[in-house]
Amino acid sequence: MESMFSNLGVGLTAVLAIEPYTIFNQTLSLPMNIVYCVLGAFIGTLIGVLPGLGPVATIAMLLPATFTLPPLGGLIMLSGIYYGAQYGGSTTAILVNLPGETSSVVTCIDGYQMARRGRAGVALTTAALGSFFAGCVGTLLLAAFAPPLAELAFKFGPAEYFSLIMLGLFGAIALSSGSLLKSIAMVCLGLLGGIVGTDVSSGVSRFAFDIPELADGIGFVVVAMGVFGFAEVISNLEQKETREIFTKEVSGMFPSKEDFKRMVAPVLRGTALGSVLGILPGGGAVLAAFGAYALEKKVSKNSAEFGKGAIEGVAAPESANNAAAQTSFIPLLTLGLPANAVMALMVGAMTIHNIQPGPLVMTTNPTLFWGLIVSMWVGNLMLVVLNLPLIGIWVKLLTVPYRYLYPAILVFCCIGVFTISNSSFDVLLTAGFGFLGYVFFRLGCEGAPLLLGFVLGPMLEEHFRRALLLSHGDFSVFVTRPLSLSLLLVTAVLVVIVTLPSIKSKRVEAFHEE
Amino acid sequence: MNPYRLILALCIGMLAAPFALAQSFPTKPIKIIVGYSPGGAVDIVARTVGQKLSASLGQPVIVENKPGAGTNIAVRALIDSPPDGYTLMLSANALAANVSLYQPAPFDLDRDVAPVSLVGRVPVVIATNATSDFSTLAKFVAAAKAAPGSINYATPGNGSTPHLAMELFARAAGISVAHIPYRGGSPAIIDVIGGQLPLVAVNALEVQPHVKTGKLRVLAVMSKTRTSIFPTVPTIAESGYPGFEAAVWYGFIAPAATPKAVIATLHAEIQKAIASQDVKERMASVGGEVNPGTSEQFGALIQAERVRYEKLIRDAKLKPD
Repeated sequence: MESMFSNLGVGLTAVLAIEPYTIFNQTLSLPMNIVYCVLGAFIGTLIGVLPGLGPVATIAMLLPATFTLPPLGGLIMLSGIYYGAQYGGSTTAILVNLPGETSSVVTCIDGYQMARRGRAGVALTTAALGSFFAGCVGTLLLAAFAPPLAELAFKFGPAEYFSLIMLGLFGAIALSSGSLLKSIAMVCLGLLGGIVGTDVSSGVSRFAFDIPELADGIGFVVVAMGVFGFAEVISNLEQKETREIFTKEVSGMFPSKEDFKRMVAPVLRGTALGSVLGILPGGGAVLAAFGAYALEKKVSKNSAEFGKGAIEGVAAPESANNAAAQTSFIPLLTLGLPANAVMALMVGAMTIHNIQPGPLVMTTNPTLFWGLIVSMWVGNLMLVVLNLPLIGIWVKLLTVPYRYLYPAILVFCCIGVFTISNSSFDVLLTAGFGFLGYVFFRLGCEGAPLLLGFVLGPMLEEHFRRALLLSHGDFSVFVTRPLSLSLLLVTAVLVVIVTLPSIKSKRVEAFHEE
Repeated sequence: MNPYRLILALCIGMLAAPFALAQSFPTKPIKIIVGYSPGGAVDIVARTVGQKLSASLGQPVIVENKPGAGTNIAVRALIDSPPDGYTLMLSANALAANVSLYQPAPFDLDRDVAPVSLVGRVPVVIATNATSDFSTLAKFVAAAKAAPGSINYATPGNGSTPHLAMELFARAAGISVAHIPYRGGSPAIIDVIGGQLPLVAVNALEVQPHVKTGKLRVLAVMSKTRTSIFPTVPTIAESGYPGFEAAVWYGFIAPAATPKAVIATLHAEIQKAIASQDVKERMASVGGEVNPGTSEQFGALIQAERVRYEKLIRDAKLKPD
């Protein structure tokens, strides 16, 4: 414990170090690392707010610029962009129902409903405070337990991943507020859509129709932008009245005492779940956000309100995805293994500065290692400072007449989708999914379970088949490995205990509505 | 401005443009297409060399990522660009393999692209978990001979260079091993460190940090000579299989009809860039060793690789990923 604090001290000194900086022939003494941190967080927020323009494209573009910065400064700026974007992504999810990141899909469900009820400010503040708290906890965990936690990731083989995803899928299947049957149908549709493209295990092309753009599958952002963003615009244009109510009743920026009471427990639970799942490479943050939402829905007193603007439905997944964003640095910093595309770029940035990410960084470059960790906390603080005053401005955005707002939303969506792989095919595909999303909306089917199936389906299949390849076709691997077995048992218990009352309560709800 | 003047100005501009082009190349920004997502080795090499080219040519150099279909989308974008030297692509082994891996062939190497310059190479290595019984390549081969098809090995994907290299080696050594494809090198390495399977074939730089910390052990380097990354590790040839070589290489290509003079200019500038000390140093950490050479030598390398992969893919009936 003591060494942890002395280590954090080393980091804090590195981050706050005053360095001479020459600009316009004037040499100033500035805490340059703080400047990089603020700059990164600011750029990150901006790109996060622009729907679809993700951190991967931005970091790639800024990578050459960091060649000339000192290693610590460069990394601080890049990680600032990363969590800034996570943050900004939830802003658009709440305001215009556009998930900028995979992990903010869940935030759309209740966040957007809160905004529709004139509580956009409250939702944004909740997201900001929940994320900040989760970020602080994540940073402390990173500092205290990075090496032992990293070892945990190695215990997860393909069989364990399969079982974990099964748990996630079943845990979240009752995610939507509508009919259970429809949500299962949407998950299945998502699972099917997810297998488009070249199969990893055999190299066979499936449902790609010899279109090269489909060879690698349909991108998540394409589906999310279409089903959430475009479809929302179409259905809004159809119903004038609801939109007007939406824009007039924007009041109350700050959560009430009652709101705070309701958000404490979900934030704590979300943080805990996010911290654990963030360590796992590949999709940790997504599973965390979906899982936290499903968990809240089960344990909350206000579960009936979920899907209609429950504050718990914003607080829990937002805390979970930010905690996961923080702990996903653990495999990178301690093992040199990137957990996602942004982390892979960070590896690139480190190697360019001749630092081999991995267990050695902590001992050979303690200032860099601890400096980066402290800067994450500073970055989170900056984000709250930066974002709380901005919330007022974001909310005002909603009072812009919709006839000006919606073309802007569509344009930014298109730019965002295009920048992912510089492909105009993707933009057309998004439009197609927008139409499909509108059809689903008219049918009363929800987008979130579809996206869940879409994201988890390919992972589920990949790990299932890899587990069988490794065992040379022996199905018993899933039950003979203790970790996998316990995950499957939890899934089974969940299915039995949890879905039964949920079906019952769904019936009650449906009864009330009629 | 009145409309007639505007039109006049535009006409003058259009007339002037070809002259400017004839005067000196380049007069506008140059684009480097990369067939992979940002952050990978090829992307970082493109950005590193691009930055140097931008300084020496006095024009911005933009890297455009067009990932997908095993770089075929990027090659298609290159072929469809005007052949004026303003669009280049940093290609890798996939360029030579894809003409046989994909049916029908997505492009024609001779007709569609022109080699500009090789940039560098990274050897492929066979690595194992440090706690495994395979202390040498010979032990692994003996174990594979004793139980054909039962030893698993991981690769970054179906049809990836390490996959093709391992299949070539299995043929040379007369063994049968089970291929487990992953999505990229790092998940494959995670599972080998975690003990899910004993072996991984991957590029040398990706395993380097894990070898340093003693989690992985390199059994053999698949290059002609030993690599500076692992100077103590024997090559495949030293281990008893002469003539065997497999490496990840990458270099710049242009659309086939690009003028010879423009290619010569680009070739000279790229050679200058990769000869500079800072590029060499950066390359050492992300892209292996730089390989100077002529455009013709690079063209010959692509051809030789194409022939080799064609035979392997036909014999082993491999499919793309």
